[in-house]
Amino acid sequence: MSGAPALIEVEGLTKRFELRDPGLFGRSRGAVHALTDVDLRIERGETLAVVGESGCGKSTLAKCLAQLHAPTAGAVRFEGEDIFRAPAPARKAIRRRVQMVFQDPFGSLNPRMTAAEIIAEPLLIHRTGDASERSRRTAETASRVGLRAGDLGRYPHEFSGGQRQRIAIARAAILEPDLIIADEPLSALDVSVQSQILNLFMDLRRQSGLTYVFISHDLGAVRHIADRIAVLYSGRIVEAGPAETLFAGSRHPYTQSLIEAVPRPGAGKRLQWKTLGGDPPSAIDPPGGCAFHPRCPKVQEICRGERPRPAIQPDSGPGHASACHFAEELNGT
Amino acid sequence: MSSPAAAETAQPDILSVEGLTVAFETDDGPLTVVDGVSFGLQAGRTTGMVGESGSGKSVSALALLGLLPPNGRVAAGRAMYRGADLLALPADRLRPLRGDRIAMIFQEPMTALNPVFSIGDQIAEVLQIHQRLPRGEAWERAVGMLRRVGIPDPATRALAYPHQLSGGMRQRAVIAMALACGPDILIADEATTALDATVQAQILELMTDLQRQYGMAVLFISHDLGVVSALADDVVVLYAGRVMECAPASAFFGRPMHPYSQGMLETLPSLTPPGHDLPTIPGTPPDLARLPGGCRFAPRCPRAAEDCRAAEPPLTETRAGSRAACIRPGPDWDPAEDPT
Repeated sequence: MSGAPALIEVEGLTKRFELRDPGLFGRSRGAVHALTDVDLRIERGETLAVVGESGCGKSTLAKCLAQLHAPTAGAVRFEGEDIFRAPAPARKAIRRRVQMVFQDPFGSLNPRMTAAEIIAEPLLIHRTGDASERSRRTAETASRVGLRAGDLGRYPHEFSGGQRQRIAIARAAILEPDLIIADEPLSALDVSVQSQILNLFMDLRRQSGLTYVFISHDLGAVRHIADRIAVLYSGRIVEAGPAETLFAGSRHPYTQSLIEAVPRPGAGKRLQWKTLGGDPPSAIDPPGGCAFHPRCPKVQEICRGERPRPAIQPDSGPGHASACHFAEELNGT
Repeated sequence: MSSPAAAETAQPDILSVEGLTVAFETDDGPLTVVDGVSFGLQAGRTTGMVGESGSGKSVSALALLGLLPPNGRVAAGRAMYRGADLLALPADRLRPLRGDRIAMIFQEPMTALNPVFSIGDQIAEVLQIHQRLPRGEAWERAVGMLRRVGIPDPATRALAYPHQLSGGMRQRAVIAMALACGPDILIADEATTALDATVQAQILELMTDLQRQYGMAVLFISHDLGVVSALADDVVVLYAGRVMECAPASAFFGRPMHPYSQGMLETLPSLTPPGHDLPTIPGTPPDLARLPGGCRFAPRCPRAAEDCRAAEPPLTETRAGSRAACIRPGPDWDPAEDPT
């Protein structure tokens, strides 16, 4: 790792949601452990994919990075500055440089605003430019994402899902942010439209050196766009590393099972499945030891009692870390 | 691959759908959402029905079961099952078949289960109604079904209410209910779409095993080509309410004949090296109220020519066992060489 600060550095990030009975003096009913002790570095210009199943903490991580959630513990540093301890003006300046694209292009756009107003709104919020400057940038950004100038006066319901996602991406891109966090940006789209939007993300990255945090359960898309992957399970990172390293030689039984679980088109009818038993764990009462141990095909005694720390795998690709007691033995899937 | 080889030789259809056409009554007049759909299902085989949202997959399934919403009606077509046309059967003759001989699994297991009855009760009820089993025997069979779908401790779990089960366990319970009477046909509509990847794999494995045991015909509706590839013997591709291609799965995934099928498969990220631009199908599926003249895929088709816009191409055989609705199927298709 170089001495220069990463674009984003996450250290010990923990987010719990307290469960309380209703009322001012309601009794605590425990907590949802959404994220626990997450460490991450995101370098400028790279695309980090965060994968995992529902409830693993993917979206909570995205929201902490975008300042939509305040963490319970830990720090998120943007170019070395601790976001949640920075004064309000600095936080707002960072917010402008970190934008989000959400899953549902039907729910995330204001139905009473035209496409042009939706795309231009961040400029107003951050008091950027005058009216003519704003309309020039709106037109320019809209054309970058493949929207026709003549359509910008229309309302969201007049667009298809793919076009709506283009509007959401234009809105995120108009401030020329350093980082775009995309939370399942493809999953609400038709299959024939997903590749168009995936290409758009890659195109914007080429044009302006954007950094992405790409949250998705679609491993095909992730493999295509990501430089690095972090795998979350039960609110913790269980494996992280270069995308190709993880797909070719994962060193965590959960990642291996996840890759194995997703059938590839054209692989032929599957008569034998090597499936993982059980369900993803409860976030209210996560299992002790390694959180994956109740489902792990390679479980040993130590896994039930002792939580493995993420450990660098020096003989694998650079920056490959796995939180498994037996990571070295899992060499080569 | 042992068993499919024998099935490759033509087997009679247990269900034969011909020219199914469904129209919905809208404020702007009738809208045809399924237009002349034909396919067959065979015992012991899985037919994967693929298509994007609005392609008519679910509506086709609902029409077969007589479950169209009040503003929808079958405008034409036949669905022959054991000498009877399901589309023409009066409700009181269709009802005893539904859930008994022809069962259905939907996407969201929570909505398919009644929240105020235990899952054991709900499975037993199916057996009491369709097979007229006495209550005690029905309950025992229900517990047995829960065991067969891999629910641990089934005697106790039969007493559980749907909300007490995880999503995966709920879908297992729904499958147990669907298979309780040993149906000839199972229709699964996006049955694993709401599930996490590792739980989806469990359910797909279960369906593979149960089909081997029960030998029912399965119509597996999904937008996920990976899942269809893992499960299907045959594939039917729908686009804007019409069948574009109908082929054995190996032929479809290996050498698709319709430009739409080719486009769908080419756009999958797994076929392009990481970081490179993916091939795309330009545009979006058409508005069914404003269909283009001729082939409805023509506006997005790289091979479209003048004659494609003249008339809608019929589904014609392109090679043994495969049919495509296209004037120019397959990049290397040559009618002179074609064995048919």
